[in-house]
Amino acid sequence: MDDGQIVTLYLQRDEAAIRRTAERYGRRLYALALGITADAQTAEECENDTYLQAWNTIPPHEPRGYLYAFLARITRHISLNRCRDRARLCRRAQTEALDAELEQCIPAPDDAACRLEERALQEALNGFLASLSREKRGVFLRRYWFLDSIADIAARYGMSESKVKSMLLRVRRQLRAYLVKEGYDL
Amino acid sequence: MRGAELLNSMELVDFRYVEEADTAPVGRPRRAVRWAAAACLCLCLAAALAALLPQLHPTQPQEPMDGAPGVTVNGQVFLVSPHLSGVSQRRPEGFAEAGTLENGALAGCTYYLNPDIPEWVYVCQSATKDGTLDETGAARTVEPYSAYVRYVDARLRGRQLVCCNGVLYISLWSADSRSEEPDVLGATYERAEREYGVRIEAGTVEGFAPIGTADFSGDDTVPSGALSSNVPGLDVWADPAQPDVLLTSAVWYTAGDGTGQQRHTGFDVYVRWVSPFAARYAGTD
Repeated sequence: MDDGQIVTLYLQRDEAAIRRTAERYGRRLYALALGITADAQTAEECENDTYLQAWNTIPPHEPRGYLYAFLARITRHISLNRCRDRARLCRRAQTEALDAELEQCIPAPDDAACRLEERALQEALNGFLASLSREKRGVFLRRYWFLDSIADIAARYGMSESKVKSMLLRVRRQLRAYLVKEGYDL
Repeated sequence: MRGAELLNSMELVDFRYVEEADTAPVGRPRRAVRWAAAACLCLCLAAALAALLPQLHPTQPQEPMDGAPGVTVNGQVFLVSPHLSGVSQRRPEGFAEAGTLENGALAGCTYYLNPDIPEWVYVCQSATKDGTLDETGAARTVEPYSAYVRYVDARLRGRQLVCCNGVLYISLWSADSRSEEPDVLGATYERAEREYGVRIEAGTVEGFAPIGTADFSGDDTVPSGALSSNVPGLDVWADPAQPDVLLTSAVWYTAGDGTGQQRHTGFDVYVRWVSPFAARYAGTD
């Protein structure tokens, strides 16, 4: 069953939609949640919450051409929230490290006046990503979207870990410069 | 803004980039050569296992990766019913043994036909209720058991239908306009979608007035008569000036803005069902 047919099941309010989604993407969503939460039970809960959220948001959304990305975004959001909400999770340190890494990209940290409109930020991020090569974009997203470890990214792209780190450092600097150029430097 | 917020905001990036980042990198990984020998060995082992496994589990069904599980009987494809009412531990009345399935995951299973209901086939097979939810929302696990499972003509399965004075209508949600035997001609579908959309969020629609609640004809059935539907509890609205369109009252929920579910009310749009399969039923009572 392809994405379009699964989305149609959601639109028809057919509970088979959830089963079909789990069959097609369950393992990938679970792996994404596990990578963020580092806790099997929590990851399973995040996966199940993803199906519930998908049920509640399709319609109005109709992600026929990007169902996996749509679901993965939900999983990522839920998993990050779980991680932050529950200090007992051992992976908390990992998300804090990532928070700190991205802090370097922000022109005026923690200044309420520079809070960006969500839509403007979305445009800025997508504009920035469009300016990157496919490889740099992939490495950046694997780190800050999928929250992969440096070692996993290095293995995925056939690079050394030091090359991944230096590439991420350059891309973070580029993002900061891009945000400044877009007028986010006060 | 803090780093945590930016990390959260990364979810705003375009879905195309997410899909792209989740596919294999274009370039060949540097370590591929190192692993080539191991990969060859794995392939050999996999080939050997593939040859051995069918002998170890000769009757293990192979679920198709795509599409609902289905069977082919007399050249017609039947897909498993999406309704739990399609599973029964007793042989359904009127269905008689008609043969044994020869191909596919259910090869060797007996199937049952009823000449009065040619759009259904029952197959006696192993069934389970895994995946359904109990009252607390937890997934239910039940040991597999032998049951009669309903398979529905692929041209009918999943179609939401209303019969109004012998004329059959199908919801745009469930209509297929692109197959060889479309439920709705592409031009009709596009016109309806353009004029009404598949769903209308509104209290009333100009020209349309309620004509009654459709009798429920049952899951996976083709409704007939003055006003009936294979979807339970439908309130039907019609406009005499628009004989090719019906509306049915609908309620749906969305996640809202993070403060809980948001309830919506409106109408689902139905248009005339023109499938050749539908023609067999048109005007029947």
